[in-house]
Amino acid sequence: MRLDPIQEDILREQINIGIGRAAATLSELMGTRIELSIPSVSLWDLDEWWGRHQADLSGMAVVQDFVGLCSGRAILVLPRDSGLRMAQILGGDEGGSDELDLEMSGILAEVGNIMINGVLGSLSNATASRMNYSLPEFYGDPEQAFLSIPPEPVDRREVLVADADFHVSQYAVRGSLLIAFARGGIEALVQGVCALGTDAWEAQ
Amino acid sequence: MSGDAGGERQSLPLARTLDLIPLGACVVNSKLVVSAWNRTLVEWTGIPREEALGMNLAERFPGLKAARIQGRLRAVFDTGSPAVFSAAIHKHFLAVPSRHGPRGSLMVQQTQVRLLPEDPDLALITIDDVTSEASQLAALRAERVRLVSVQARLLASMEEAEAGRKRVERLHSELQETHASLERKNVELAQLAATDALTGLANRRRFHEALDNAFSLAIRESLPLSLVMLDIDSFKKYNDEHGHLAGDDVLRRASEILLARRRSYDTAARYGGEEFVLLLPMTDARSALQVAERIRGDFEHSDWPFAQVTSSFGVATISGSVSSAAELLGQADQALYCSKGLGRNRVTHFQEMDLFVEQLRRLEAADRSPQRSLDRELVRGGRSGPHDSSIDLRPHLSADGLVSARSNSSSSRPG
Repeated sequence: MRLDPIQEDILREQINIGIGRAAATLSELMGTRIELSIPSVSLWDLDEWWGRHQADLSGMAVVQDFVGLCSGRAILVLPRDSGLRMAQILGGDEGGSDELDLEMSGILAEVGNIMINGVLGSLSNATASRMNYSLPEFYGDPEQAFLSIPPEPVDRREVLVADADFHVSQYAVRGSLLIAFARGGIEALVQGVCALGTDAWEAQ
Repeated sequence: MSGDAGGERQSLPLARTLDLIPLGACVVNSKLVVSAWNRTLVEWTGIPREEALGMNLAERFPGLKAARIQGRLRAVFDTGSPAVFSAAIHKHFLAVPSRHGPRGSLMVQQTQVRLLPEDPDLALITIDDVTSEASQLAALRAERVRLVSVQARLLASMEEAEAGRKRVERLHSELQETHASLERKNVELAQLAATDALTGLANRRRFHEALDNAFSLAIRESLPLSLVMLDIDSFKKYNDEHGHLAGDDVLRRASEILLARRRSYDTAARYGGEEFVLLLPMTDARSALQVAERIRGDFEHSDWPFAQVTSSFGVATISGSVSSAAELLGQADQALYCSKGLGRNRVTHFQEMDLFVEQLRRLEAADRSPQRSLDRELVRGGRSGPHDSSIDLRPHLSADGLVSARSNSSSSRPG
């Protein structure tokens, strides 16, 4: 499937709303302002995306599966330096060790949970459908997040990728949220989001 | 928020199930009213199950009213998305005493909140006691900080040691350079000490060293050795008439003439004032005379700027009667004196002096005869260029007078 510019625009807006909520929550946790860039949204073949980004994504991932109108797996991938930095700021251990320990992985699981909840919650609202979610799981290696078996069959070929950059304490944190959908999931999402979006636009 | 019928809604099977898990677990509705409270929470909080059911969790544990927790708990009910509260950020989801930590400390907890699949109006809260892990981690971190500090000190010490080593190396290098420089200066000084500043020839000291060495070698190996001593004629007069700078030029030119005739193993030196010496190892009397004669010719035919300059020569060669270098030098000096006495600009070998003295005695005897002038001219002619007839030889060339003059300094020699 390919997204036309309108579909891409509507998805970007919904994802932007979700990331904005997540950033607000993280700001509250950190007690510091987080500046957010407008995320880029695109549809990728998973293997191609991974092949392009594998080298610079030697980092970590947080995974949450979801079931509903559309089902699939959401994966937040954080480059190692971004993830560590964020965990250090949130854990009040700025300038601390660069080792990913239990405490830091707990923090990052919470960060991932907040980010994924924000985006999936926004998409869920946009489709006026309720989804069920698994608890977040932290992976020290993003590849493991892709290789682990999801609860339902997932169309591994297509992923919706939202790349976001935000600045925390003058430090640029980069992250990619990948949403891999079960068969027909992306079409259902796009259809649901765009139907409501168009209605809203027309109503406006 | 206050208690409602939540307690009444507690599902018995669920409550029993919650008792089985090794976590604190409770079920709450969107108002945080408790409808299930497991045995672990009874143990941790000291709140009996009967009291807990219907209790508002946020009223009992006010920490839950913090915006950063309350908002996310509300979102769980609003969106159905689960929420996790990490131990590192939130520390104590429910403020209860720690069982493993220091006395009076609170339990460190990691909490998850998710809707019950079969009843989306209720959420299950599970709380994991990670106090022990947190304290172990804190100890590990403290140890790591200590190790990093030790490592930093070690690195600083190593850097300091390295800097010290480099400083010593630099000082050593500077010292070596200073030594080398000193050695170069010493060589230069030695060179200067052995060199005549005006002419660049060896000086008197260096000449004496060379003479002593050459004399010893010649005696030991039975080799011939000759010495030529020369004195620029009428140099004082030249100086007086043309100035000292012009005199210096004459001395420099004289040294050039000597150097041009010198072989690689000969030593040419300025002996003092306008007096020069040329030490000729491996050279017999005949060859030495030839060398001296060539030099005399060089003086005579050289293009002098102000006036003709000539030089007188005395030559001596080692023979059985010479017992020391000083004696050889004395013989050359005597021969030079003789050249001066005979009218300058001539070469005299010491071994020929007896002949000259004899001739002069005869001249003195015939002084009163009409032929005396002619005889004197014949004697003066000898092996020489133009002579100076104005010099009166008589006071110097009597046999006794000649010898006594040699024993004194050369300053008594005619110029």
